Amino acid sequence: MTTPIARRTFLKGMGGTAGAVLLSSCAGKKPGSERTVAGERPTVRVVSWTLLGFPSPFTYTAGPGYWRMSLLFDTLLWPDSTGKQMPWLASSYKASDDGLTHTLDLRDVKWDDGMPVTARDVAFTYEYYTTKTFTPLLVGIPPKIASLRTTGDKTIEFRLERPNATFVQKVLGTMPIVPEHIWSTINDPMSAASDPRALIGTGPYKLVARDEAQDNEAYEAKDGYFLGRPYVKRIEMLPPANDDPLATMKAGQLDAAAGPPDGARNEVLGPYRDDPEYGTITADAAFSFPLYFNLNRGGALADLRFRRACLHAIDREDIVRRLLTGNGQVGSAGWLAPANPFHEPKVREYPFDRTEAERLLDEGGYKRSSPGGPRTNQNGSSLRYVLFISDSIPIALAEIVNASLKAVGIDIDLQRIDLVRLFGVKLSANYDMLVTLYPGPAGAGPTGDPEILRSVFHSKPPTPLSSATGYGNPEVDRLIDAQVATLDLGERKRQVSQIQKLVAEDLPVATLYYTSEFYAFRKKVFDPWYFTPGGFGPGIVAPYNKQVYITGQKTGTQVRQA
Amino acid sequence: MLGVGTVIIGAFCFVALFAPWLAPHPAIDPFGENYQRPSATHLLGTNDNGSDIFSRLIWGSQTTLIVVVFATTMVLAIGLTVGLTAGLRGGFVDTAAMRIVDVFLGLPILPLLIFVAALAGPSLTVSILMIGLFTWPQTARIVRSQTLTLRQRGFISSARGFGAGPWYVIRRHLIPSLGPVIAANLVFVAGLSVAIEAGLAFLGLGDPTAVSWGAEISRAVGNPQILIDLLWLRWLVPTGLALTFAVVGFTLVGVSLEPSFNPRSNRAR
Repeated sequence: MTTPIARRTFLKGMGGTAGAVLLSSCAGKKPGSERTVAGERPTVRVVSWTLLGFPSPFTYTAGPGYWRMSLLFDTLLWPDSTGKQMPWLASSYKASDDGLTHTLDLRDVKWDDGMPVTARDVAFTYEYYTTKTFTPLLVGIPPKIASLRTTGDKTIEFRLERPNATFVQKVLGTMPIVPEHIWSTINDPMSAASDPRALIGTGPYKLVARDEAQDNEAYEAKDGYFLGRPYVKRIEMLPPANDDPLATMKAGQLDAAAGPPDGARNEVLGPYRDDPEYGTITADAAFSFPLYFNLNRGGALADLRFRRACLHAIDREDIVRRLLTGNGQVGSAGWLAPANPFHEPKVREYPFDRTEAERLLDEGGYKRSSPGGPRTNQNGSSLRYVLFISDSIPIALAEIVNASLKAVGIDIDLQRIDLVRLFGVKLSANYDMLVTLYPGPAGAGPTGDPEILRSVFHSKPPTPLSSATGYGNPEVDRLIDAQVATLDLGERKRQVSQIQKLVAEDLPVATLYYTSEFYAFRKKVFDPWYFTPGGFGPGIVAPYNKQVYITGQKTGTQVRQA
Repeated sequence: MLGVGTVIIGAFCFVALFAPWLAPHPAIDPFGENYQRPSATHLLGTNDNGSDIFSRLIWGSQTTLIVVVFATTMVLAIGLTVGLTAGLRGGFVDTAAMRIVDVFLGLPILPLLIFVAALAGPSLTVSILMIGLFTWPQTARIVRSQTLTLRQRGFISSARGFGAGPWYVIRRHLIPSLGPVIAANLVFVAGLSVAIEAGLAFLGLGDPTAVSWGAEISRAVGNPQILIDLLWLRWLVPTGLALTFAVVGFTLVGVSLEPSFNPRSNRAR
């Protein structure tokens, strides 16, 4: 993302990067290649996100905030590279056949201050999360869909009134368990944003350094962690020079780094793919670029022909080819990406077809004022809308969308604004059209659990951040409500397919394209990185699943020996 | 210095005014082949979405000229009005006007510009308004001090003694006498406008659809491919040089004119 801060630090960053490259080239070896000593547990340096909140379970912000917090706190279950939830803080987990009762036994674990972890702590945590009000940027808030009772000191039983297909991930696999004896004394959890007691957890690491001004943090492994001494002994989080993590890694200052979320061309990624020093992994469709229409504004925005014409007018295959050299995919009108196991390929498609776009607009009564000129509404007013676009999205895309719509006679007033303002106009529904990037703060990514469709297409969304403003289809609502209560995978897939078909027909939001998340790492330092299928915690796609730091392996809970 | 500055400004104005004829391609051509190397068709190659870099360099001068003309006109209008009113009326009006000028001069202009432009939203109009609204006080102060001096001169007193009204005095005597001083000051303001517009555009606070040198530098710097295939040499460097030359041109002319017209400079000599 390009931000004013990043630009101000550009020269400094470039200087640092260039200096590091120069120094290391004088030494005659690649920067960072001296980072490993055989037989030692590694220290891994990754990109920092200190600005995304104090890493307590109630003050972190968004995905990067959650994964930092997950180093300090544990959940009852946790996934590995298979995506399957394993007993974690729990020693055993059992669900009844009807999916209504979930029973867990806790391991014999102590909090950092020496007090034992008990079933009461779990009950307290669930109560605390579900009775207090938090910002939507606290992405791992468990939904209140179960009652909880403790049977003994170490056994918890969650009881659901109706089956819920997301319960295991959203509650058991996402909710960090906090100590009752600490948090029962803190009435406003958001205020404990620097209180060291707020970091007392059971997690595998402890925060040993945090400098928000310098944007860095360091976490050190706890030797007494209940699964064994973590394989990665220290995790350092450092700011990337010039907002370019890959180049910073190449300069020897990081051991792993992601490519830009807005995608990159082969010329940028090639040096990492081709260099044997680096390993690379890719997650298809990690990010999507949806075009929202505000149906509440009425007029053409509420006219299906207009929305369809917009999508037909944009050559999305050309965008993927030219901006990404193929490192992306054309968006599905059904929202879920092909990489999602619930993706329905047979939804209505909107290929680039300017003639069809013109036909739809003509049919809608949006006539051109002159041949090749802008169109007007049926009442004679100009067919002109403000299109907000995030400044974290390449200006090239903004220009393409703008020119494509203008080419079919839709006059666009392009407003490129920062993400905070963009979220503001989205939250207040104060927009005509808008292009943003997901996963956003509402976590509505294209590869997550299909329950994300609720936050986009349900007429009563949990947050307006990602919802299709003004859209409501009773059948879509019914199916969204039904799929979450369906435990049979085949049946749930059928329901989710139907939702995708319906929303692709209605097109209240049009996904322009998806980009892949590219991740490169220094193989000699640490190499078992992976993307968790479906994400970890609240659905985080990034490869920072703590399971890999702890075990040094892609699966299971067995810790690898250095 | 004056000659060099005049040539640079002349060249800049010429390119900006005749951009539609000089630029071989449209400013935005989002359907062209991107990242092309330099060729006879694209002298500096193409950018990230296929637009001709050389043409954008030319079109960028037009945006800069628009900002310079309108912002400088605003500064002239406000500065002249406030300075003349304060200088001619004196008393409370003078004191009040000069306190307002002091307040504006005491403001940290750049952070304030960024703050206001960020609140108002990115657009060329906002950039012009911001530059105009925050850079007039110096002009007002110079006009006021010159007016005070001129007021004491015999020909003004005589004119007023013969019954000339304030408008007549302003039009016939003050403006012609103030002209050279204002011109020298406005050249400085023009140079400042170029730099401020580029700065705002660099920070993403300019019109996203306008081709501006500042935005172009920002776009080049933020491009992940800028260090590949010498893209920086044909995109970042020419744009930076164009911007530098424009600012230097105005500064050279301003610096050259100042000793001739600024009474303070004369005294200093």
